[in-house]
Amino acid sequence: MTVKASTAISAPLVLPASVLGLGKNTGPNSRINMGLIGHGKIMVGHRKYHLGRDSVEVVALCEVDSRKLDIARTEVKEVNGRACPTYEYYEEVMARPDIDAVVVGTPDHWHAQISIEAMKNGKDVYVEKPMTLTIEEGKVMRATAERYGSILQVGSQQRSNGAFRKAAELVLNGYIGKVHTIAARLGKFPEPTQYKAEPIPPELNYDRWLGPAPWEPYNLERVKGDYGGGWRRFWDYGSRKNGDWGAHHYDIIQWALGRDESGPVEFVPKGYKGEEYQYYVYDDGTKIIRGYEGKGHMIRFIGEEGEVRVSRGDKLDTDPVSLKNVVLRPSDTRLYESNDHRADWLNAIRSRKQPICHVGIGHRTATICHLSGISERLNRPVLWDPIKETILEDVEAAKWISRPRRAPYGLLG
Amino acid sequence: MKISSNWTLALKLVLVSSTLSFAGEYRDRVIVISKIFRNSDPDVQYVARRDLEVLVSDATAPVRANGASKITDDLLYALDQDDIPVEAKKYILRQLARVGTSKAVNPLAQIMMGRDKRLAEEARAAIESIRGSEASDALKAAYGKMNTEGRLNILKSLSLRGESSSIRFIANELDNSSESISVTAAWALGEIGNSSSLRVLRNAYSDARPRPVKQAIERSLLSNPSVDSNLLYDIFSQGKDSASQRAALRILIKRQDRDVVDAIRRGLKSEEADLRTIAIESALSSGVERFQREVLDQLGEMGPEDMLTVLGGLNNIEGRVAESIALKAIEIGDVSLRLNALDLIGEVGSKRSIDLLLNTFENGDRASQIKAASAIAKIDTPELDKRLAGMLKSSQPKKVLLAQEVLVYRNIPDAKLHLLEAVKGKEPAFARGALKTLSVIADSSDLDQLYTIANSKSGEQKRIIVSLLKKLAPDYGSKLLRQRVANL
Repeated sequence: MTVKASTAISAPLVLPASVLGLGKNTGPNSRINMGLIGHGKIMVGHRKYHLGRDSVEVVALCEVDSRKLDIARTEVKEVNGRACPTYEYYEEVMARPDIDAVVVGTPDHWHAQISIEAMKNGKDVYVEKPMTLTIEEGKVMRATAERYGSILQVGSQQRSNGAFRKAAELVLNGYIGKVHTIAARLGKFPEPTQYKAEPIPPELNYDRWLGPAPWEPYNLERVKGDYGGGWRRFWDYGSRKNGDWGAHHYDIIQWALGRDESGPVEFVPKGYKGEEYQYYVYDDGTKIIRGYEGKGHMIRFIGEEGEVRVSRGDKLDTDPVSLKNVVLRPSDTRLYESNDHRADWLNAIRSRKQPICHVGIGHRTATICHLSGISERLNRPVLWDPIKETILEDVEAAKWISRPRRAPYGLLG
Repeated sequence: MKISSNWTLALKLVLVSSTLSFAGEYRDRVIVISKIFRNSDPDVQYVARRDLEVLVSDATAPVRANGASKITDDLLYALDQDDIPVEAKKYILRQLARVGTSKAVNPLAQIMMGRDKRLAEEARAAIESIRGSEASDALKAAYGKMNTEGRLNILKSLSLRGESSSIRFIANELDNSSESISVTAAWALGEIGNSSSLRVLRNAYSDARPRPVKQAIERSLLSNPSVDSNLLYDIFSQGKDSASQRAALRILIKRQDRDVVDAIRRGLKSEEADLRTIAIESALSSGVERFQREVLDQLGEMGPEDMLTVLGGLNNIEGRVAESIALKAIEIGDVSLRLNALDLIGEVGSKRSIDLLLNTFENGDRASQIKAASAIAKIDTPELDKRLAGMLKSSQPKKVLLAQEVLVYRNIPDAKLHLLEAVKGKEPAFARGALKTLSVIADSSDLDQLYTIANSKSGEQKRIIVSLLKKLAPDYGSKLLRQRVANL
């Protein structure tokens, strides 16, 4: 008998979804009927995952580009051996009472509206990160989830990784002393541009793709799913790198600092009064610097008595090195343990216990992404009250908590 | 990025004009930036768009007096010029949506009613965000001249503005023959969400209406924190969909309404799994013992799915009760129940659960072992530490080996001392077990001690310790130890 972990990390091994009763041998009555909405790059992994489980029945596919929808339809038919209904309009998915849950893999500007409609129609939601496009959307999503008792998981899946959890637990329990500085590596997108208008492909419902975002002429680059740019480089559809990698790393930082129900108090953009880096600060002075030397890691926590550095690929380094091997004391705070983000959501749907990255957490993390973006766009610091969730001492900046929604896509709450 | 000569000229103009003084403080710069949009180079246009945004941000910074008013004047001036490209006007309108004052309402209203549909939509969005009754009045005045889609958009704008003065206007549309308009009016009243809009919705709910309108009214009622309990009972009993019924029950339980026990009972006995689930989850998370008791009284009649929901909510109830239920759930034999119960025991367990955890860790299937290990690490009882310390000294080898392995997960006092003693000892199986655990948890000083022990040993025992040191010292050993180990 051995339940041994690797020598690098003593956390238990990954728990397959099947052992949660979410894989094979699940009774038909406990299957989760699922709709998958938005079939760009990020949905490929979700599709493969859910199609491989007896506990899940993929019963609806929705996408505004018929070329992507065709790919998804073919894939589902190959796996299930039967056709799956497809839709161009998500409202038709919402109207089906047999659907228990949806995965929302659209670009960011559609996340809130679809998720809210899903919850109001009694469906649980897995929504990609960042959870929202604006802070206001997050408040509405949180209230809706609370009202309807929805299970909503945000796709900040680094929380379901042993290395990130161990890093957060070491920081949270004071193993490197008081943390004063944290570096987060987000990378950089190219600057947005206008792009020349191109003919809209007949397969794409472009007006629907834009949805509540401002109208701009079609160009392939604008709508393309591209982790190095595409729609992600535009402010109209997200918060650029702050909403991209920031939604992962800021999320882990919040977790490690025990700030899941709170947030920073000041955001300062790069270049403001000669600042070399963009940064934000918590009320105890802890400073999170974007792009600061991470010593080869995605996140670097610097404390008075040591360091913790962590990255994807189970990379965890510490100073002193033996910190990695620390067995937490029974009295230490343990963080929610999940080793499979999607399985955690499926388990939460069945147990009704909130998942590891629930709506409240997703909202707080997205708030940091958006405030970082707002200060960058305004080119000035933004002061934030994380209790009242308001921007302070700047009337015009405060308006950025929301954004105008293009008609007829104005419905939100 | 290619920068055309036109653009560089424009940039120079912006810089030069920033030092000039015209009628408006920002007028010249707005005009110069706007004219850059004549350049068809997309990169140049983007720079102009960004320049306009930065200019407006700067004009409205907290240190500027009346910044919004001044920049509104100058943006309106540019908007009124025939030689400003439409593309520039689009972005000017977006800036007015951010910072515009009531002075902008009339010019914006004209654009909203104009022929250019894209600019009209930008103007509507701008009016929507401008404070003051002028903006609402302009939206209402335009309403009658719009087609159905335009009216829907105006209803949404009015609701997002959230003014009580718009309630009567919106309420009139609840009876509109167009279902999309009446549904949107119901939604809009929910969005305003005050006592006046609640009164309108409450009255409207009692009237016969098409199902979609009734459903929208229900949802709006549910979103209002002041909705009265009688209405919630109505929605719970005869709501248009199960999501609304669930929401109604959740709110009633949260309010601890005096009659809610009956609703919980009905929920628990419902044929609908959704309602049973929400009754269990809401009652357990309420923190109210009499509500929780209703759920616990039904445990004997529950199937595995409902039991799973019960486990999900048990961390909200008294630890000993929760632990008893978790232990009972394990007896049922369902795999999901067992694993979730082990999780829960990690959070609420006591010495009662120690045997179960150790037994599962030793003999369970792989998934259960992992969950048991996690629970062993977390469970908050010194009894487990005492038990493990006793096992380490046991005369039964099986117990010693089990305790040694558990130390990978459980940090007990003197754990490393025990392990190092075992390495020093004469029993090879114990030494190997201890080294296996140390391979995961050893730090620099432990390795120094292992080095000393290695030098006191010979043969196979020494070889195993040296092998471990060679593996761990490069990463975790001191500089001196690394050198010593390299020479071994």
